[in-house]
Amino acid sequence: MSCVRMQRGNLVTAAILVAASLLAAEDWKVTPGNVEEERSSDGRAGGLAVGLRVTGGSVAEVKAIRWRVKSARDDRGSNLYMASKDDKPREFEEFAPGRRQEPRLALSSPAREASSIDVAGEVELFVPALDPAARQRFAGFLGRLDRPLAVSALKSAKLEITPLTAAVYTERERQNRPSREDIFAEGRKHGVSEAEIKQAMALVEALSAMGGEAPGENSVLVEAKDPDGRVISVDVVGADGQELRAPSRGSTGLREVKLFRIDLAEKPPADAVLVVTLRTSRSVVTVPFRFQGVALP
Amino acid sequence: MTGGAQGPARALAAAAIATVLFVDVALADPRARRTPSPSPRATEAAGPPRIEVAVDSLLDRRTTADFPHSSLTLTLSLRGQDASAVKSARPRVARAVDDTGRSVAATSVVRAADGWQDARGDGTPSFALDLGSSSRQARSLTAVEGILEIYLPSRDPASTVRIERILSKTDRTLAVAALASRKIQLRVLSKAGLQREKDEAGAKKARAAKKKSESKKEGMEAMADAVAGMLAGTIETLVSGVGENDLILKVEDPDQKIFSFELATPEGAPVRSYATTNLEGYRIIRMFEPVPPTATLQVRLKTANSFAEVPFALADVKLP
Repeated sequence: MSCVRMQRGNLVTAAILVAASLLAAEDWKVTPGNVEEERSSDGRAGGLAVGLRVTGGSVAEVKAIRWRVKSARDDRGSNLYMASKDDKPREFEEFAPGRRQEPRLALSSPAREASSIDVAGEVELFVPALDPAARQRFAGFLGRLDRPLAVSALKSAKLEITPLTAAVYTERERQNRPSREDIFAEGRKHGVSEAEIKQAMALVEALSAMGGEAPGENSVLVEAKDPDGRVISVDVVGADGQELRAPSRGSTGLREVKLFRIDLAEKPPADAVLVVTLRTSRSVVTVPFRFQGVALP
Repeated sequence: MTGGAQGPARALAAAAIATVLFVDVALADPRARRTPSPSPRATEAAGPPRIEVAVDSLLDRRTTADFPHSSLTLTLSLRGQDASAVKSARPRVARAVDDTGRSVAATSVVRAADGWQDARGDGTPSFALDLGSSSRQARSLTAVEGILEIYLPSRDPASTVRIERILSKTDRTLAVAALASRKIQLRVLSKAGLQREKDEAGAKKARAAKKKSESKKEGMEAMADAVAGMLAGTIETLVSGVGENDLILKVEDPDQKIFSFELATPEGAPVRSYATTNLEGYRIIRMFEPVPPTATLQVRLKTANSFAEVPFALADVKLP
């Protein structure tokens, strides 16, 4: 009996490894999607956005994407992308094939006389199916709230994940909220007048008053300390692995401390499983691209 | 780049935030601001408004996507002696052509169901004029011609009804002859008043649901129950969507004589709101800060003398 179990286990592992190697070797392609441009007479807005379309047999397995532009020029010779020493790698963005809003490269405005552009760069695709370690599951997490999950895979990724009670979540949210002074200082740094900052803050406060509800018994609340930005998503599933419907979800904060809130349609069962999807070196595929003669609208 | 009767106008840089803060999110009945045709005699009596129209800035949105379509938006600023009195405007384009000969008069952009826009900017009101997309090869618009319909309540004292210390008059129908004569009934709802409306609508809905379960109804009776359900839904939406500082008005205006609402200080200075939401007989004035206790509600009415038309003809407008 144990021998049969072992053989079955080996077969499953082998199947995953074969599937992963096939995915990794797949012929991924990135092509230009929609091109959108804003040209303004007073320089307040403006820029060019080029959509990215990813194709490949297993594109449904791609769960997140990020990109890097290496060069971009229009056919009049204008440089549309200036790299900066301070440029940090972008955060991964959630990806789903066929979504109306494509991932988009942001470039400077080309000359009005230009009719096409050339762009080169690379795209990184997060494909969790390539690495079983990319999905960490935590059964019974609801019974261990307000304590970090102690798992070596998280530790080695320099990650601290803590499911929270509503009281602690609310307190952390309050602590993490930037003060009025912080907002004023940031606004001044960008040359925004005090009156404008005050108006914008009042608008934000008024809007948040319209929609801000305290977490309830359907809410799953998680804090992530993730200095390397490895967390792609946080989800909740049933003990059987079936997705639990979540009409609303959101996150606040940055890598240092990020708070996730998932409002489920119903109170989560006691045996619900927390699924943390992580970027690992084996789960990322890099695809270079070179778009030539992309027509401008 | 100027049109109208009084020569060229300077370009102004409007604060970026203004575009965010003065979004009209009215979910209004399309007829809510229907304009009565101005009586030619009344317009003559007041004389044509002294206003010139100039191009302040342009925004050219271009796309290869199917939707939204490419569009070109001109921000028009109004100058002249009567400009600052303009509260709202609605541009109508008769002709707009770029220098390749392409007509850009038709646009797919819809700002509000009835096309009226509230004035943006202090002192120099500005409005958006939406056009179709110009050719990429074009360098300028050779002609943009049309009419700006404007609402100037200051030209007709009967167009503004002022209700002082509005917050002291909550939860009762306001007894104002100028409104009653136009069959307008107005109530300012306090939070408690809104809650009472919600409870009453909820009870009405529950009674209707109970009756429905007890008997099979048809025709008018069934329709009345459906209306009770809808009303309860509307008030539910209102209660959940109202901000701490918002002013809630219950409005009955069968002949649609109300153009808009504004708040002002006792001295007449505007008290700023950031949007107005219309919802099935309720009007919510969205506020940044609490309404001052001394604030006056200004009900702007549609009267023939408060509307006027300003023709504009802009030439050689350089494209960005």
